[in-house]
Formats: sequence, structure tokens, C-alpha cells
Amino acid sequence: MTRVKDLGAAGCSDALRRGLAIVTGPFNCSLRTDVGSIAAELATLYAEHELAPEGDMIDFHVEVASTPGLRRWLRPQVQFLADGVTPFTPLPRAQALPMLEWGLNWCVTAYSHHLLVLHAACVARDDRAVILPAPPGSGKSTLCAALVNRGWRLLSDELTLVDFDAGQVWGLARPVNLKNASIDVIRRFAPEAFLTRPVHDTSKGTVALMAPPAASVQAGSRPARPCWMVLPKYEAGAAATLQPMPRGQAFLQIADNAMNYPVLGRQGFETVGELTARCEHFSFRYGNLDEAMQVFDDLARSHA
Amino acid sequence: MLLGGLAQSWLATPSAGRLLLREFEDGSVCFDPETGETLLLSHLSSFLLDLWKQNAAVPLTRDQLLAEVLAADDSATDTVTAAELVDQSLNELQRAGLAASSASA
Repeated sequence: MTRVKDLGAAGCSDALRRGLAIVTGPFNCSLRTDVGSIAAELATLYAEHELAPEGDMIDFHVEVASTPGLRRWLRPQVQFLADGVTPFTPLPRAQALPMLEWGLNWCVTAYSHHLLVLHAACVARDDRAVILPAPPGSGKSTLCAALVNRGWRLLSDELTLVDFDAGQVWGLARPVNLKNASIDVIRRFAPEAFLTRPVHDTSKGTVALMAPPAASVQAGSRPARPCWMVLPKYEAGAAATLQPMPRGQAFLQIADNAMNYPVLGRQGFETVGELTARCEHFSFRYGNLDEAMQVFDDLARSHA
Repeated sequence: MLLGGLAQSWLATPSAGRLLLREFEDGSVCFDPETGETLLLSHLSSFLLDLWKQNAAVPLTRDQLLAEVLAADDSATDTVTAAELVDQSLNELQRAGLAASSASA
């Protein structure tokens, strides 16, 4: 098995120009870019990912490419392409790396209707998963980044995939998107983690990407059993408090965060119902990451 | 909301007939496969929907509904409280478009 890091810097740059085919959870993705300035960071972010076996089907061909014409020299931009289609307006070239990540998330969301796709982070301990759905600004990615730097396995910081038959959750083990204040919070909390240079003035503010832990990537093809759904909310100064949530309310929260729930119809209702029934549900307020880690470690020791 | 006189009859709407229901400790989640709408109904509301289903969609007055609720209740709830709860449930179902009174049906 070959990993991205085995290609070396030059080999990775070269592969990115032609299409670097990697395995991310249940998908094979081809990443391509002519923006040389992001190659090194991209190679570090995906260093532990396996290369897709030669001849395997590629689920998503994604590309971030420089826009042609005079703009290239005046105010350089990049466009995102998925199988040759450009679903988004171009962005400044400085945003090429986050654009690739956002674009890949869009592909998974738009085309994976054989799974229930939740807008939620997901981490696991001993293959028992905690699903963390929450709106932007709730501290979901910060919490997720902290947990995976304290022994939890990263399945995803953004998209949790639930299969219809077994009800197991699948991860992507891709980079964690950190925004604004959470970038420095995680730099202080986990100085050993690799974070890209911050990219300023994006639609989400300043963003940086954190490389997924090697162990999470290496376990990327292994599903986990959903045991808990925790709805996090960061509040400065708040004590870490886990509050049980009844299942009916939890169902609505999960359905609200299921991106393809309206598309799936009855299948979506039944899958969310099964997921709701098999998990314990909580709302979670926290103001301190160390306290939050303790609460999650206690949760992992419980018998869900 | 005014629910009308005591003799007013209530009936589930056609959309109630196609609902998928899943019961949890705090109520029943219902899903309308035609509209994609998902709602959390109280246990009493889903009990009323079930009543209409069992009675082959025959309109029932509020007093008949109340009598059925009291007959099924094993908690010795007094009639006044039970009547308030039935009214709340009829309101909930009416707002959700799942029940209508005979005057507005």
C-alpha cells in the first residue's frame, strides 16, 4: 500500500498536476491543481492517505485550477471543478486550498444519496462514535479538533455518513477546518498538530486546515457504531455541562442536520429513526476544552 | 384558539392517513412522505390519530374523544385536566393540518 507521503514532495507535486488519486473513507478522490503554492501543504494534509489502487473507480474528480486570461496576472483567481463542472464562482487564488476542501465536501453532499449525509463532526473511541451536529459558530470543529488530539479517532469534522443497512457511521478522515479564534485555540491546545497557514478574508473569515491524525487516517476504512449524539455549544466561561435530550427532540435535530433528508424521503426518515433509537442524546455547553475532554472521556467509559 | 362547540365533530385529514410514525419517550415523530414534512407530536395527539384510524375515519366529537382518552388512561387524571389536554392536542393537530373540525372540514 502506498501513501501520499511515500511519493515525496516532488512526486506529490507532479501527481497533483495530473490528478492525485487517494482513498478518503468510502470514496476514491482524484485531487488536481495547477496552483503550485498549495502543493506542499496539500501533501502534508493528506500525507497519511492511501493512494487509490491503480484501475479503481474514482468517485470524485476534483480540481482547483487557475482561471485563464488576463485576470491571471491582475487579480489571480481559482475555480473549482468537479468532473469538469464549475459549481461555484471563482475565488482569489489565496483561497485555493480551502476551496478544494469545501468543494470536496460539496461533492460528497451532492452525490452520496446511498448514505445519510449529516452536517456533523464525528469522533470515535474504541469504534463507538459520537456524532456532533451543530450550526456554524457552535464550536463543533474546535471541539472535534481538540478531541482527535486527545486520543479520539477523527471520522469527520464536517460530514458524517450513515449507511442504511447496518446504521454504522463512516468517516472521511480529512483535514479539519478551523476558523477565526479557533485556529489559535488549537495551536495552543495541540502544538504538535500540523495547521496550514491561515487564509484570510474568506466567506467564513480566516480559515486554517488541521491535518488529520495518522491513526485516524489509517483507520479510515473502518466504520464505527453510533452511540451518542451531542449537540455542542461553546459559551465563554461556561462550565462543561452535558444535558440529556429526549429522543423525539433529538430526531428533529438530526433530521435538521441531515443534508439529503429531503431527497431520501422514507429512507431518510427510517435511517434517522434507527440512528435516534440506538444513540443516547445530549446537549453540551462548554467554555473550556480541558473540561470538555474530561466529559467526553467519561462518556466513552459509560455503557452506551 | 377557539375549538368550537362541544358538539363539533373532529376528523383526521387525508394527509394524516399517509404519515409514517415513530414513537419516542417525548412524543411521536411523524413524517409525511408526500411533503417531506417532519413533526414531533405529543403522545396524546398520536393517540387521537390512531383513534380515527381505528374508527374508519368516522368524525368524533370532542366529548367522544375525551371519553376514549379517559377510558385508555390509567393515571386517574381528572376530567377537567384531560379535557384541556385533548383541546391542546386538537389544536396541535389542527395547526399541523392533520385534523379538522366538521365546520371547517
